[in-house]
Amino acid sequence: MRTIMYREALREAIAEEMRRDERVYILGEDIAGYGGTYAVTKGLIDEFGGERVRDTPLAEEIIIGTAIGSALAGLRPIAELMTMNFSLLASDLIINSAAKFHYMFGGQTRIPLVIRMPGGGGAQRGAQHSQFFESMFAHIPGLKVVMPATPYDAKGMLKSAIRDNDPILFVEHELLYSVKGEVPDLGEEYTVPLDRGEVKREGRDVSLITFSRMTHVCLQAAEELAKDGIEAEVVDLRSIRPIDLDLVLDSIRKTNRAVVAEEGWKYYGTGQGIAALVYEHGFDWLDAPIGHVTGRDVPMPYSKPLEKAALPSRAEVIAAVKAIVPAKRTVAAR
Amino acid sequence: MKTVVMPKMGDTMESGKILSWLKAEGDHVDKGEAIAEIETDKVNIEAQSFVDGTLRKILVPAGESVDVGTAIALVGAPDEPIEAGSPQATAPEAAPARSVAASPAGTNGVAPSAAVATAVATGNGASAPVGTDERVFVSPIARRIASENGLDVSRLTGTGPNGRIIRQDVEAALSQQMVAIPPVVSPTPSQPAPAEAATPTTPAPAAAVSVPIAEGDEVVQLSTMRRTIARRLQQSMQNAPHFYITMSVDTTRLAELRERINDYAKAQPGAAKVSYNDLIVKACAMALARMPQVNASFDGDRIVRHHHINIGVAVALDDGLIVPVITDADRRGVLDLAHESTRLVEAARTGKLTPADIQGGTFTVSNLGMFGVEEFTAVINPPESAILAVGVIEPTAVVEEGQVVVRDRMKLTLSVDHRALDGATGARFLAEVRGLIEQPMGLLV
Repeated sequence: MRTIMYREALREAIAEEMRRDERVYILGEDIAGYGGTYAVTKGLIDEFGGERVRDTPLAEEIIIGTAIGSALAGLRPIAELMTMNFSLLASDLIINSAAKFHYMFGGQTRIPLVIRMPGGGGAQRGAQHSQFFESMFAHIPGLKVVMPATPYDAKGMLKSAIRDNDPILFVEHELLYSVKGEVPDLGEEYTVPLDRGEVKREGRDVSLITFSRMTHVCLQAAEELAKDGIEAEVVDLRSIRPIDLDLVLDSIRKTNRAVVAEEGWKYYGTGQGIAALVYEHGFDWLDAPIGHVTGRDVPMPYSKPLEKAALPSRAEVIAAVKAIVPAKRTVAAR
Repeated sequence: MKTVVMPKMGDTMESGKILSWLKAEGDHVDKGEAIAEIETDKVNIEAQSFVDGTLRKILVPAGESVDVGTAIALVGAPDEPIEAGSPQATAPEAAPARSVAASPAGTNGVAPSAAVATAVATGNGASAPVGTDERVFVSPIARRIASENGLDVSRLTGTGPNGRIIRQDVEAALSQQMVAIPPVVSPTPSQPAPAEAATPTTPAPAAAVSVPIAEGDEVVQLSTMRRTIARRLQQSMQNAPHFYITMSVDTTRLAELRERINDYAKAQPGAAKVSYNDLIVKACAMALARMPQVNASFDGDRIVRHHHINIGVAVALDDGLIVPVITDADRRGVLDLAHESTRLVEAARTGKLTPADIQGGTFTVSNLGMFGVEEFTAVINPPESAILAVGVIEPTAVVEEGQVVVRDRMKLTLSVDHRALDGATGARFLAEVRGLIEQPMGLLV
């Protein structure tokens, strides 16, 4: 095992898969000579050359359109969008082409496409550049949406995504790129499945259902809660669609309580979808209403203190847990 | 069309049995007129119509029990049509077991799943209690565990938000049960189960086991009273950890005092004869006034100390037991107390007790002395915290100042709910009672 950064884990996954399969290539804005806005693709042009590491115009429709066309023609593109916010420009192609062709053409075509892009806030990028749209895309049948939180999962899931034959939105986070974590040594092959979440911390009192950057916030909250005798289980979904509902329900059958924590907005989003599934399939195991921690219901402020206030915090996760875990239980746990 | 419902007479009444219909379908009834005779947990009452009209339809036949609030009859104009949707005495709906299997298709919203199965049959125990004024909030998992263990959640105190009964409340209640409750075993077809056991109208005693029935055995259906006794006393023994304290009490002076009081009472028109039990009740009432911590009820996360001292007197009946209550026993003079106890015992034996006569007890005296019983232990009558078991008065050899002498003595055994009271408190209380009996002038002044 080594300890590397999230961005390095992504770079390793891309390089290993490009070596493994010559049909794999990458395209995006400033990914070649510049090495990518977040330095994920740095150095890849030196090994793989300009044919397989291609800069594009600043036009997301062209990036995704080109990627879909080349996928139809037999290549396995990895398209990088500078941020998820710009995916809106390509959303017609993603939703109406990438997600549909396999179904509309009677199974004659596959779209083995990975779209990598960071979302989320916290780096003062303003209202237009701090958004998560995972729930919009996860709504669409025909798409997969994954959001790994750790370097290990990022590398393993990106490798799985590149080998998968369906269009996949691989959603990163600007604040995750420098996060460090243990990853197997180079040459030690591994992948992480695209449809399985993982319990990142075991606990018996409450399940924190989360994904992406909020996984780390929840892990910190769980450590603090442990000081008060509350053992929180942190369930990292890793994949938003398909969702590993078995894992979520298994955890709730154990803890009987859940808080869903996400960075995005509250209404009609991923967290509400998860809560609805739990109510539908796990009602008889619940001991309390499901808690929900989200970002504020506002466009993201640019001001640093206001941005901080708009993002969900560790304290909010702790408060949501304490609202549904009975006090008696905390005493008994000591 | 107006509905007549099973009336709620008293806090503990959950259901009632129609003993007989006093009116037939088609009969005219006046507002306030009794239309049916009803047996509750403890007393017989009459159901009245609250409107003038014709008794159009009897919804619950005589002999059947229904929950409080259930429609039992329809009263209306003679020619008013009876709608199909009229209230019926319905059984709780049974939700079908359900199984959800996720689709294995890779791009579906839900990951491939071996079995996301939620096969949960919700039976009687899972439906909200019918007929109570307040809805009981129970979390889904708490309701499920209670249902699986035959626990009646309506008796629990919820510690969750809004008083919601949550998992830890049910588990606490279950852990207090001293006996493991075996699951109800379905009787084999050749052994017909008591009909009521299949669809109990009040929660059946949880420890129902299937008793093999041999040839010649007689199966006796539970009366409402027997069912109530079984449920309440099982609840008491399971929830209240009992401990017992026994003292021997000299009754010589009590006998002298009783004789003098009754000599006096003979000359008073209408005065009742004072029994030993009346004097013991009075002694208990005065001891409770001196030690209000005993006149209390344990209630989950708190203890309620009762303002009034109401003493129940256990009265044996041919087919059971009933405990009418002498209210404010500490404030009554001995003759008044004797008069009230005489009335209550007579009413109990003739089935004339009213709901008010059996409510609000804070302590109970049970006396088996008349059967020659030396001493015994009694089961606390919930939600009270203690009960006094009184044995027979017998000439007993005792040592006084180095000499063996014969004295009349009896044994008193106090059963105490250890959740509310400790041993020393119980002992001090019993010593108070003994002091009042051995120096009985205190009962009068």
